[in-house]
Amino acid sequence: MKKILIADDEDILRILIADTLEDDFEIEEAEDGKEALEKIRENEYDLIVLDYMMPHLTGLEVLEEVRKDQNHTKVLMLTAKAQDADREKAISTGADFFMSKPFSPMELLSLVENILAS
Amino acid sequence: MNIYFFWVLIAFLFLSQLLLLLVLSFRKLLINKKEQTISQQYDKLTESFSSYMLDSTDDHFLEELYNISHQTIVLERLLNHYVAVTKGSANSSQVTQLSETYLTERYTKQLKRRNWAIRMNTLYFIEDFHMKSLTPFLKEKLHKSFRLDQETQQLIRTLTSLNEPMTLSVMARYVDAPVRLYIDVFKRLQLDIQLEELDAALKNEHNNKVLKYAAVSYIGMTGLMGFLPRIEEELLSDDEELRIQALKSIQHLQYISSPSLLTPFFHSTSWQERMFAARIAGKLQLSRYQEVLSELLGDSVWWVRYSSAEALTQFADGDILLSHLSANHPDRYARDMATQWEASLLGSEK
Amino acid sequence: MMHSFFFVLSTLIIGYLLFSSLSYLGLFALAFRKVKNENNLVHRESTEILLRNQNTYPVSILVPAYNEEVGVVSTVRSLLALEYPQKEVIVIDDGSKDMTSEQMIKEFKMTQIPFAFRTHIPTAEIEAIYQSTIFPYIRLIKKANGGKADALNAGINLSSFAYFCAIDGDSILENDGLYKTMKPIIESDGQVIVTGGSVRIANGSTISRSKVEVIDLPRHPVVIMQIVEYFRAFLIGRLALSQLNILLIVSGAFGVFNKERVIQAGGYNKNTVGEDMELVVRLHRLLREEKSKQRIEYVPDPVCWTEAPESLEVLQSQRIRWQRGLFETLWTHRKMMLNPKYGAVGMLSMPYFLFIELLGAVFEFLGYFIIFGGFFFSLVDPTIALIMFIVTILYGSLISALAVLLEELTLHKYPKVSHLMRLYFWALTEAFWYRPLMVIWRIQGIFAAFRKTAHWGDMKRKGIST
Repeated sequence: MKKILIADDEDILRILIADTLEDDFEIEEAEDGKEALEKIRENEYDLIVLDYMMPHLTGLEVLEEVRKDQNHTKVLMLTAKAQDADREKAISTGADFFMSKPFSPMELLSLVENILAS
Repeated sequence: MNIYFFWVLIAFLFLSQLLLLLVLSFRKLLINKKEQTISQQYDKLTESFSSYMLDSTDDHFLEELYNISHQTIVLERLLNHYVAVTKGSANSSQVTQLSETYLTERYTKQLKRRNWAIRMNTLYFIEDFHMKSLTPFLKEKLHKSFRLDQETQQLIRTLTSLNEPMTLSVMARYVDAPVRLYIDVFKRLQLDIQLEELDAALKNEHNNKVLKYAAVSYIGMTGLMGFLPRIEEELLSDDEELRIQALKSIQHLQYISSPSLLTPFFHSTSWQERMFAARIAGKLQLSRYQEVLSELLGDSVWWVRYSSAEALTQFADGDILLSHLSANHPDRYARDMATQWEASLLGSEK
Repeated sequence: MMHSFFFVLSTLIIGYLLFSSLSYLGLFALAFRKVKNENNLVHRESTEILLRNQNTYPVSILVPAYNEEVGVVSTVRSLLALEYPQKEVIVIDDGSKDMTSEQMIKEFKMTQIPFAFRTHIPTAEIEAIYQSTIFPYIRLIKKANGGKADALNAGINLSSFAYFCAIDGDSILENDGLYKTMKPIIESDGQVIVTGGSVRIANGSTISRSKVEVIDLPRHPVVIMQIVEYFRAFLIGRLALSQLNILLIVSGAFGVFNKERVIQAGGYNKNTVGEDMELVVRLHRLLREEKSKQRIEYVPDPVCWTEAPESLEVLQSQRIRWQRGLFETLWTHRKMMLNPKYGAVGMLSMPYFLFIELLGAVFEFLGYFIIFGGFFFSLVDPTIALIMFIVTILYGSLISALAVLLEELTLHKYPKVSHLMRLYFWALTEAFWYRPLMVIWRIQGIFAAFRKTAHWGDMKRKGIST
């Protein structure tokens, strides 16, 4: 079973995503950037769902760290509308996919399935 | 001056402050305790709540909700967070059902409260949770209002979001209704009704200028291409504000059926028209206007110079053009502007 | 003869203190309803407005930095996180002796770009301009030292957008702070040319990435007293000055300015230490003289957090500077004072700042003098001295304590009961140590202003953020 890390500081959203994905994937959660990075260092994930704006370490900073040594891990960034302008920066740092908040859990599920099927 | 008067004054003030301090401390204690319980209950219910939202047959949540003491507040918070992070939640039957079952009574009461902030927040929540059950009550409230203050404006937005296009005719009563409020209303209308209303507004059936501006502006914002010919028609209007809105709209739509429609605007007496013409020429890369853009680089208004230079950067040979202009343009301000944009192009390429 | 002079003086000062106390009470009572009303509103229109105005009203954020190698990078990072669609950040290294520029260049991978701007306002020599290769909208100006006002002017010259705001390295804007401050400008379609928002004291609270995570009280009584001062000013400012649109931005507040207007007014004044306040007054004056319909507005919401000084020494130099700045501003624009041509600003704000903010210190100082003189040297009747003493406590401690209570009644931003208790009891001590200190420093400030006017131009600058 493919392994996914969900890093988002918004409780409800994180749990919703986890609930949506947990039937098909192995899920782990992180509540902020720092926790996410710790988990990434200890485990190998097939996909990391990363919120752009988190306390302690932003998604972008986590991404920078990830890309230092893991190139095969796919990264899906969750951005709020106001940060759309920063997508370019995220792409150059190494984000593979994006999803704008708010989104519906089902949209996310189908995107994740697509990503991991390819 | 009587010394006793001052002693009494200060003693009285001090003692009444102490009393107030005690009351406030006690109140704070109670509030904090309540807040703690609420957030505990919130944490406890998050898990089952999200399961329920994904699958309403999993009604474990309803049971849990039934058993807690701060039912309505906890539910309100859960729903509020849920709608903030998920799309299409306005049509979620769970949200509507939960809110209508548990919150209707509370909100009806709150809308009658004297505290303005409570009433405003309630209106926000009703909109977010899409609580149709409150429509009759809100309509009555709107009919009774006689000033277009912040609360009435929110009331209009809320009612519109519950699919009540009647708000448009209520707004017509207020001559000072701002464009942005009309735009907010258009945005909240259901698609079919929205198109009908936009059509009516463009035809100016209600003889309402502000409504027409809002319609033109909204069409641009949301990219309703179907209306493009109608917007282009407005470029010929006598009303300057309307022409500006139409140009702005075209800029957003990023399309114009016949570029020559733009020509008169580059030499308009209104700087906004010159600015938008420049922007559109850049966005659509209309190379026939390169020359006039170089000219506008020396315009007397900063915004026009700025937009012309920005427009020039959009062309493939923009950097060459700008570097030529930064050296050879007869106007000093134009050379400055060209240099500034040339530098920013350089900086972002490295 | 001597006695009757002191008697008259005492009566005057007692009258002044009583009158001021009463006006505070009156203003509190008025402010109370308004604050109570607006409290606890869910702010959520923000994104809606931002989405509606995708490309309108971009803002240049200017960050003057003098020897700020420690904080400059994190300041800029927190600015990147701001919720605002189109912005640019311009850091102005005002001739730092440390690694301020080097830190910026390294962290944001900056490269030098050609000089490309128009000198609207003359400044000290510009040495180099850099642009970030990661975020093209971050730029850095390296220039010769010329003071904060000069640095800001250089930033204005380089900025690309029509609106700018300035933020110190030791302040943190809230996530939606820029949006909240821009809102009156956007909604008025540019008729508002300056907006000012209020500043809160960050000490004790945990703030990370433009978000306040835990609100707590600092240990240090000096900072607690500054928080109490803030409450007092907030309740007054909230009502009187914002409602009547006659606010003169108080030192340290955060504001957004219309660039064209500022350039027209000549930019920041390099010859005063209160450059932000002076600029606002100058703009008020410009608008009035032009009979323009444009206006200046105040956003009562706190939008920005700042680190208050913890040591008495730094606080002293800050207060001397503020007072000097106030004096210089009032002096430069003395023509406006009580001049009906300048409307409410001339008739209300200027006199308020002169009599309450500037000369208040002098009256209070004379009051202390009389208390001592009366008790120890029979300068006046001891009864009078005693009355003076009581009134001083009323004016200093009880009003401040009341401000604390009113804050709790309305906004209650500090979460714990112990916070309330500590704030209240420290407020009560105000008349016995904090206020006398302030009074002395403010008087020093007035003297400093006089001395400076004597040899103009001999400006030694302290770091920007003291």
